[in-house]
Amino acid sequence: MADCPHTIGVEFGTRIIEVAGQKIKLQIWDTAGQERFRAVTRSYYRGAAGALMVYDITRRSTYNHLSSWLTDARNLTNPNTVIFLIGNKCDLEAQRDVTYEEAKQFAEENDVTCLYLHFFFCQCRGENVEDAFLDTAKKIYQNIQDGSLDLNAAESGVQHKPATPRSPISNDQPPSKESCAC
Amino acid sequence: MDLRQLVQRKLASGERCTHSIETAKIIDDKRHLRIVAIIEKNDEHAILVYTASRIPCLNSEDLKLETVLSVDATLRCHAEAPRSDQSGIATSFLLGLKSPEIHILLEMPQQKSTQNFLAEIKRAQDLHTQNAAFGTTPSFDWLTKYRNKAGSSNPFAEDVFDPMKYMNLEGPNNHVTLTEEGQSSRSQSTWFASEFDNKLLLNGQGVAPYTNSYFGSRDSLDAMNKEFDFTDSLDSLQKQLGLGPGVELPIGAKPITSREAFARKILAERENEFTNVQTVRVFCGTWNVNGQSPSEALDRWLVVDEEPPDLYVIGFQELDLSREAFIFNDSIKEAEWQKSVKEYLHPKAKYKKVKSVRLVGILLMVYIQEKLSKYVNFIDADTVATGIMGIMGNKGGVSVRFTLHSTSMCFINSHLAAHQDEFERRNQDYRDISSKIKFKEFSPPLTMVDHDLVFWIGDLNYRIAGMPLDDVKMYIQKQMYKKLLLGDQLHGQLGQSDIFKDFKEGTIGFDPTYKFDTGTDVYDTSEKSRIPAWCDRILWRGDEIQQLRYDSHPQLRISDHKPVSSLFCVGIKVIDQKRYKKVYEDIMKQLDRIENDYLPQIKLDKTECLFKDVKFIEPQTEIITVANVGQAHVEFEFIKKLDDVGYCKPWLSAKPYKSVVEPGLSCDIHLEVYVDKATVSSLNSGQDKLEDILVLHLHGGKDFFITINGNFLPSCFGSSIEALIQMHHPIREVPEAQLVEIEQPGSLSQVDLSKSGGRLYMIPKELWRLVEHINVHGKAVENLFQIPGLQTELQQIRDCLDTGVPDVLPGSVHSIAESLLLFLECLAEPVIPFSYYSQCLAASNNLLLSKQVLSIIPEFHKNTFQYICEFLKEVLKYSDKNGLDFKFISAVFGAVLLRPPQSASCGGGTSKSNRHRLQEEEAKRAAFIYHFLTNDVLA
Repeated sequence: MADCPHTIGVEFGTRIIEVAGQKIKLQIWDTAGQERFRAVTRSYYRGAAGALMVYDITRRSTYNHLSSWLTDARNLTNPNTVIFLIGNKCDLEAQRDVTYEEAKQFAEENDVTCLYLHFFFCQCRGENVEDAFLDTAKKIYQNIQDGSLDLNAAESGVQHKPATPRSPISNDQPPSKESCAC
Repeated sequence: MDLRQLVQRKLASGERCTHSIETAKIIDDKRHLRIVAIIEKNDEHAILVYTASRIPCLNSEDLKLETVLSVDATLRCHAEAPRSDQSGIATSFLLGLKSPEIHILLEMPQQKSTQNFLAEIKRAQDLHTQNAAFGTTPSFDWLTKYRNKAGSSNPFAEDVFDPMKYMNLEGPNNHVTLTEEGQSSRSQSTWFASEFDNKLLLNGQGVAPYTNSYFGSRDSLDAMNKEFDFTDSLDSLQKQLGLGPGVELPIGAKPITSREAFARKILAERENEFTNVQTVRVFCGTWNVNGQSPSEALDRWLVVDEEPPDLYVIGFQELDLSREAFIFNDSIKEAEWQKSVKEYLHPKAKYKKVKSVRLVGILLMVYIQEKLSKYVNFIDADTVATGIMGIMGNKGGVSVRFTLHSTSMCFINSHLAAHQDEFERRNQDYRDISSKIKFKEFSPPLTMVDHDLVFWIGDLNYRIAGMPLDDVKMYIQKQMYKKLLLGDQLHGQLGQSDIFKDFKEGTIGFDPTYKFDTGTDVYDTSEKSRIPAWCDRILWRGDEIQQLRYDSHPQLRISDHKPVSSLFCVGIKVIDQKRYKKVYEDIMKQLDRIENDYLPQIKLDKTECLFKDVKFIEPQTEIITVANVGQAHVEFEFIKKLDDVGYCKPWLSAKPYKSVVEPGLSCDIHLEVYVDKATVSSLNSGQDKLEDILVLHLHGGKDFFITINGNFLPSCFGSSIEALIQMHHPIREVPEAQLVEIEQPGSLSQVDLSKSGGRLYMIPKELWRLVEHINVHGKAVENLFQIPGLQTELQQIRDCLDTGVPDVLPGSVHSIAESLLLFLECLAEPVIPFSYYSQCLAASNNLLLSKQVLSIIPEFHKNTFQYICEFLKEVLKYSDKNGLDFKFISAVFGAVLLRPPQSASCGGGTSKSNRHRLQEEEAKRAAFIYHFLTNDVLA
């Protein structure tokens, strides 16, 4: 495990995954999580098909920021943007600072999908992020299928051929002790 | 006049004769001279046949139109060798032309013009097919006039008997007797109708197929070619990618991207990781049947082992020596042999035909055990004719290819050039066939060498040379095959030349298979008494092939050749879906990685810039180095943040703010902070801070945030009069918090005079120092207020005013004068406050009104204004020395004392009316000031 530099800016990567036999290309923006960049990272919500909000279960401060992130996400994305809540570092049960129940309740109250990630999450390179992306893509795909996400609408964030849903990630983790598996 | 021109004269305008040849039409075995020409109009082509009244033709009157044939999909042309070939040199050949209505046979001279003629027909037909594909159906209207003419000028009796004229092609049950060249045959006619019904054509002359239904027609395993109902996501992905179990792309799949092409390449490279080898038994058999019908039981040839083979590959040569087969490439013999073969396949297994293909007498059929048939994909076939003139199907090769599981297989059956001494011709035939076979269902077309496994069977016609007949017969009797092989024309070349390069042949352990007296096991006893030879051979190319048997079958006696067979054990690659999926996903990840690696990658030497103690009108620069550490060129640009006007705050600039950096190189970005008159007041008042976040965007890549931090040293420049008159000390000595407080508009009203030392300045002390300096040192200086000051001196003056040190202002009078103007211009609120601006302009033409306006402005602003006016009046007294006049001073000070509010000046634009408005305003500002310079302000 090496120290991973925290994001100063917006990391960008692509990932092609399969959902129901369809190839979906995700464009992933991993935005800086520090509060001082909040005004800037707001620019990146626009036109996103999905947003992943990540907090560290061992540090309540990261959890406390969620409501402000969610406000931005709600205000700046279209109503059908898929928003996921992701509790990171679930392997560090001993150091847990935020209970699963309260996170789940927060998610339910705010109508977002709650996910738990094991191990680590580092920008867009971490291996275990795969599931989060897959679940996000599935949900987006499902929204397209049931018609709640209109592909023709401006800023749906999804292009059909070449498909490029965008998923910005708010990596709400102050840089001090962040360590990564990558 | 040449023939073409003569024909041209007989044509209507817009029609063009492209080719014409003197030829002979064969009617009842007799030759009748004809002129045949190709006519083109608007991309439609026709063949016109003329009779000639005299030879040579001298004018167009000599030509009479006889037959009109449109070159369309129904036209077929086939070539045939002339019947008499004794001379050994072919000088002409027969060309059959057939449309649904007309059927003629022409003797064509063997010359260049004939080849051009044939090539033109082929080209025209291709064009026709092409146009038809685009939906433009040629009408051939322009031929109607000729058709009528041909009818009238050409008595039916004289023409070749044309049964097709009487055929009602609409009805499928018409049974018509076809007479061809005087021969009548009821049975022969069936092929004609069936051929039209099926639109199936095996074309031996290298002319492009007329219809696209050629492939996948009745002979293929249609069921296997059907679109699979993919339910598994992997399969559907494969489908999307155009990936078969193998790595080939059939035409019709969507165009592939470089990513997919790359994925396919890696998949092919890593094939071993996800395939198992499964063995299949392949039976290959070849027989030159010399035009005979199957009257013997074929199981003696086809069943050589207890265990049934998985694949049967059976090739015949000289299957049908009839004229029909030759000219029109149809054969009744084929059906007989097909039936017979099917009957005698190994009894212990069920077989399904994969494909058969025939070129005149060369037939190749491939059968597979039913249980394996579902693993067969991408079936295709091709034929190459190498006969007379290189276009006729009496010699040549036919081929079938397909993919079994993941292994591509190609089978070729050929009949190469005959005669003892013609082995170079045979070599050439090999070269032609091996290079010209193209499986056009694929894009680009696959060739023989693109296959994992190739089996080449047939009557290769290689002879035993350099040995007397008696020796050959003696060796045969003693079964001394090794001795014989020394003379074998093929054996000597194998592995030594380009002929059958990379092909292998098993050890021959059987007698030469040619030439026997028909019905016997006795070698040729005719006059020619040909030397026996191993004409009939089976060769292979590729790994994972093991030959189990290689035999001849002398018991079969109907032909002058003996059939040959070989049994192989072949390793086939079978995809393990689980491992395949794993490898595939692996490759997808790898591709993602590569794709991400090729995203622009840069390294910044810093992402934070600190600008310490920034002063008014004194630039500070920080350099950020953008190093391109990626593999692609990088285009970077500072971009605007959400809802922002510019990419950065107005006191900041980046040079360049946008550029391209090549891999391995770097680019320095100069970030400059420069606080000028436009930005100084908001920084002074604390409304703005030296803080910003720049977004450095890489095109197609990530964004970097660059944080700008710094502190600004407050200056009297940009402060407000209100604040300045409250300061008893130089501004630098005032605590920041207090500064922010007194800069608040209206702060003066809250000042507790008793607390703050009991006094306020009448005017800002800095203004007093500047004015007093000029008053003492420079009111008589030439060109006062007209010569610009020095930047360094302006900075020194600023420091002196802000810190109070030194006591005497540094710099020249001109620098002081400019500082004065700058000071007035930078005031957060102008001397005449913004809110009075429009009133002043309105009053500018009237002294009294102007005075009224002045009387209502805040006290300390009025004081300042009056102070400046008094000073200016004083200066103007020295106009003979300093060269100033009222008008100039009014204009210069009008611009700084009476500034328009931000919103009004921003309204901007460069339109003519706007410029005019600004000029008018300037004049009014000057006029307003002028009143107070020429009159007593207080009066």
